[in-house]
Amino acid sequence: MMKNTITKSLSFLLLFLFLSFFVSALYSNSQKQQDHSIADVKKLPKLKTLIMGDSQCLRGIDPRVFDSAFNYASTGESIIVSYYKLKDLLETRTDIDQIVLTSTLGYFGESKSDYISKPYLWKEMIDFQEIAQIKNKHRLYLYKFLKTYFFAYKGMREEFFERHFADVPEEIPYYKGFRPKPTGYYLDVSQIADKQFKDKKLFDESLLIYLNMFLELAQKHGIQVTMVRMPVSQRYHDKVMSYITEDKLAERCLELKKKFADFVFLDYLNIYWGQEEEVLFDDTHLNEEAALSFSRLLVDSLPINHKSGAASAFFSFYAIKVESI
Amino acid sequence: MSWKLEYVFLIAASTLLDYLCALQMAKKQTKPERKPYLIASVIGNLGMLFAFKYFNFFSSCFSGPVLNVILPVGISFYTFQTLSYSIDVYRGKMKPETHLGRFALYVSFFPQLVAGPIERASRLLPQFKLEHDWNAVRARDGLVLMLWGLFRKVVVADNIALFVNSVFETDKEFGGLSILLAAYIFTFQVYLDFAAYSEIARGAAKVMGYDLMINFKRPYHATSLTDLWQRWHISLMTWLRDYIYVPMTSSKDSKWKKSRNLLLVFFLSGLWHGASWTFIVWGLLHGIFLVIENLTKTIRAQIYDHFFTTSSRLRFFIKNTITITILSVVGLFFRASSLDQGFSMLLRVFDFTTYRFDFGVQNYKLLIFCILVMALILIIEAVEERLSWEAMFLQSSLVFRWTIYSLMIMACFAFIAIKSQPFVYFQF
Repeated sequence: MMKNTITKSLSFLLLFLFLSFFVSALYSNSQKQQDHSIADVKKLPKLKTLIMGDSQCLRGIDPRVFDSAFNYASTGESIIVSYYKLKDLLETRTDIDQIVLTSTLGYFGESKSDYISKPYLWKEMIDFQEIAQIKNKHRLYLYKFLKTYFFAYKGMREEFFERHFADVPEEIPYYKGFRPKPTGYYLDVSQIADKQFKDKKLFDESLLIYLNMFLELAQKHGIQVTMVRMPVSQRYHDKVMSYITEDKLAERCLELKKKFADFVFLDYLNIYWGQEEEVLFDDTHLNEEAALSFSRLLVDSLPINHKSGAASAFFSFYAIKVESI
Repeated sequence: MSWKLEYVFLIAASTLLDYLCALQMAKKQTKPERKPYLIASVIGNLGMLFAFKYFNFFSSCFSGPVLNVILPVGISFYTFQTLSYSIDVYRGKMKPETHLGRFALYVSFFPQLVAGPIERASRLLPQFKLEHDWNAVRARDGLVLMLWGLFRKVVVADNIALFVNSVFETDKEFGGLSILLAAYIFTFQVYLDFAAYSEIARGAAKVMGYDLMINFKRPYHATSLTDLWQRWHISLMTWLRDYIYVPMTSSKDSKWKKSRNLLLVFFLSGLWHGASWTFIVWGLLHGIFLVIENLTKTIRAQIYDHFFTTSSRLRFFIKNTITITILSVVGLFFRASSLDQGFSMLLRVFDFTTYRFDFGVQNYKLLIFCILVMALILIIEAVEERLSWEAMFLQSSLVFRWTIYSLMIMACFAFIAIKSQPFVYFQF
């Protein structure tokens, strides 16, 4: 009787995992089809500047002001995911000569330590076993591996329902990976600082290991890396500073410069203080107009100047429909 | 509702009090001799309930002091459960439980401790005395019940709640039509949420070999309020009937006295749900509608008989629609955060000049989802009134059943809310 029960239970578990794997793969593929960036970055005829980072980068750096650039950032992306995305891309592309890697307050912080946003999009690139070994967190990354391959659809309710409660237009125009946010809003999201920084360390050493790996990989391929700290509002900054006593990112970057001579760090954290209403979509993201002017400023400050002819032209993404490259 | 370690002492005190009172009552031959112990049990349990659930409400009504307490988990349920035991022993309907551990298990039986069903000692205690061997079929049935409950809670109730929340949180922006729709959907949400908890509780108990009572019997197929309350939260309604209404009422009483007693029962039902005027108004309104229904029973029957045959589907539809509409519109007070909000929303439901399609683009998708799942569940239940899905389902092939189970589990993963959404009845 008991043997029969165990056999049946295991058989059911196998059937469930099989179906779940199938549905998970279907969901992952449907999401990938909505997200053009992986396919598009590989199809580009020419790519000189690769832009990487999280949503602040995705919304804030306009690749059209560069000559042959692509914004390969994604929402919630950590340096771990950026590293594996770069590693995957460099297997096929050899024409990249500079990377703009954005960093935000908390980009190397504890809250990002084991966070992988939408791992199913990058599942073929991410080496879960390697992360587990580097971080010495085998159980956690086995769980993440199983979740990615068998339960990618978990929480899809958010996609299905909750996006429809957004206060602003959700259809985001897409151009060379860039997804700007509309102008005319300044949403208060400063409370996210609580989640990101309360009782948390500003630097997670395992993320700094990945930054090192990222820079080593870039160096091996002769690619110059510039780390850009993106602008935020003063109220968000002050809230963050109420949790952390010292902001030592610049100091840590100077240490890295000893090892990677051509590594550059540009800090734009406070450049828009006092004019937040005009330039920010919310406390941590630039709006469409500001993204353009910020990108123009950035392209002139980079060590390798790949400025496009269109850099000084006026264009509005919200005036056009979704456009492929 | 919340949990603190100190609250173990409350449930322990309630357990000990009723255990000892029942033992003492068993030693006495007559009811008058047993009465002091019954009174001690009633005062002890209701006193505890009053202190933790109602004191602040009544005190604030008279601008009195406020106690810094939070509502202990499950207190409304286990105090009623232990009270029913004491009253049954007092009435001589059952013998007291002499084993303290077994009695404590009856009071704190985990599947139903937090939100019922409010079990009677005469049903549950004898089950604790039986030996339970492992039974794979029973365990499977229990797990299927739990899965069905989880599915109804996570996939349906929590998601239709998104529409309800959006209307109730910014109700001033909406006209009567949206409010009416939100009222219908909210009542359905409460039904699914609470029925889901009851199914999970029944399922968990069944896996271990215990049978808990059925708390909901397809209430959306009720054709009158009387019928509705025999199908909705059955454990509470039968408790109120057996321990409050029946002792106060005899068949010889005038219809006015019966109506008064009915009003009292529904007033208490409202108060049981929460220490707030909104719940009291909710209970009283249900009482008033039930009294009206009872007083007009003959004339309504004559009207229906004049226009429809007894088996007419249209007759069923009209009666059912009226019942569900009353349940839903009165339900506005159940969800409203204040009496002002409740009355303001109620007035707009009856102000047809405010009717417009104003639920906003973002709510359309949700509304369609709500209507589709409500229709689907009502169809499933309509068929179930005539034949047993369960029997049909269990006769189907193993692969088919396992595929359905798998899809239900996957749906739960897919639709689970990121923030935890507690069961509605956990607050009581």
